[in-house]
Amino acid sequence: MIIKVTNLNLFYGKFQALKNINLSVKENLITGIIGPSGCGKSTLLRVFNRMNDLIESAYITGSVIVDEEDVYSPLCDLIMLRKKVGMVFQRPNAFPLSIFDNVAYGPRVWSITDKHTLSEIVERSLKAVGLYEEVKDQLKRSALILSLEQQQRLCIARLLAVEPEILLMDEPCSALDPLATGRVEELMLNLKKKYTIIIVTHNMQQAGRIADEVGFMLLGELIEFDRTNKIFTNPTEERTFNYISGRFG
Amino acid sequence: MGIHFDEELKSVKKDILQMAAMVEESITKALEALKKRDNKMAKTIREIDHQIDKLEIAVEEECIELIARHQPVGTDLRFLIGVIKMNNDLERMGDHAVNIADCVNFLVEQSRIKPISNIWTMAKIANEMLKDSVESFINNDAVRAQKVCERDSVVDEMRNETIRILLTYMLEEPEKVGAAISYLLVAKNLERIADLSTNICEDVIYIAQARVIKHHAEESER
Repeated sequence: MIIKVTNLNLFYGKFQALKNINLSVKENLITGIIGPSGCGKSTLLRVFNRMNDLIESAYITGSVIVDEEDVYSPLCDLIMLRKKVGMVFQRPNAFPLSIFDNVAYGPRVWSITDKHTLSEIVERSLKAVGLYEEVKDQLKRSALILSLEQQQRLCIARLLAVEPEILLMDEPCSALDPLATGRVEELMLNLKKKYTIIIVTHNMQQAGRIADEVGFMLLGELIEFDRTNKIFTNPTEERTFNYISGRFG
Repeated sequence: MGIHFDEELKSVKKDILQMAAMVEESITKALEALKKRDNKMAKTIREIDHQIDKLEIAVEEECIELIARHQPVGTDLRFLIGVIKMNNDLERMGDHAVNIADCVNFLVEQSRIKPISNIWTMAKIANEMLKDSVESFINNDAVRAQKVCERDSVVDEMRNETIRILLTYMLEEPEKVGAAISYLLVAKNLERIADLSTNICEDVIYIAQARVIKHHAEESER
């Protein structure tokens, strides 16, 4: 178990966004979180690397253990946590820098300055996301010339450069066309051999295609969490069935 | 997915039930022909079978289209997968009715043998099993379906007994081998109809409860 969430409640001021969440995420699997807009999927994802800290009124009760460490303990090193638990967003957020500098950004923050080492990291990371062959001759060009799919791959490469353990993906394909989506999904399936992936998605079929386990959320509650096969062929909760079959939500 | 999809599922159910009704009619007519040694019924049974074959293709296409267009999940998915399998089983049952009618055609040219009550008992049970399997599908009733499955071994046992009886007849009166073989084939076809009713009930249990009971799958998982 790489993540264990126990009795988690999250509040934005008086509004309770997550209600008594209990969840275990297993290593080297893809865990999908599905549910209608506003159900708390992204909020839950942001709990794992404490991105919700950026919202002043947000506070939690309960515990979130990531890799045997209580991430809400005052002793938790936030910088280390965010290195270990990287995040990919809906729209690729490549920096207005060169392709090389985008990937080298994280390692430089971690004080790696040796050119040779940086080149190695950049090459390895770009290869891991299948982008190296496409961009190896234009590493000095701006990342913003790349297609959206390439930019999303680049953002994933930028995460891999700091050697994380967990990748959080918040609807990583929602800005991509079906072909590009297919390629990013293939990438995720390859990456899960080395990393643990948690993906929030609105696309039910995407969860069905790539996730090993799926959690369905509704109004801040985790209604059901099970193997993907079980969720899609025989969900226990009627509310899960109604949502995944498109009868509400 | 919503009201329209539900309507399309209802239409699939209506079609598969129409097919079941035609199969029941075909089997009833085949058994009637056997009882009356009426070789004129075979033509009607073949005509019904032709309709069943056409309907089988139509139902299969309906299911494939719904799966492709709606990517159903949960009970909707299990329903469509179950119907595809039932569809196939019902079509096979129609073929067995034709086989029985063919046996009658052959039988009327043969000298009569002593009546074999087992055949009629098997026919009655197989017919009831088919009716009950269809009823359990209509009502999504896994308990009733399970009971149908339990009767399959009774029919198997009766078939074995019928084979023993017919073998004795053949040894005692070799000139009646032709008739005995016809009854043997009827017994075999009835036993297959009972088997296929069991298959339908296994599909009903899968649709209703997502349990796979065929080949004792649940026991081997334990």
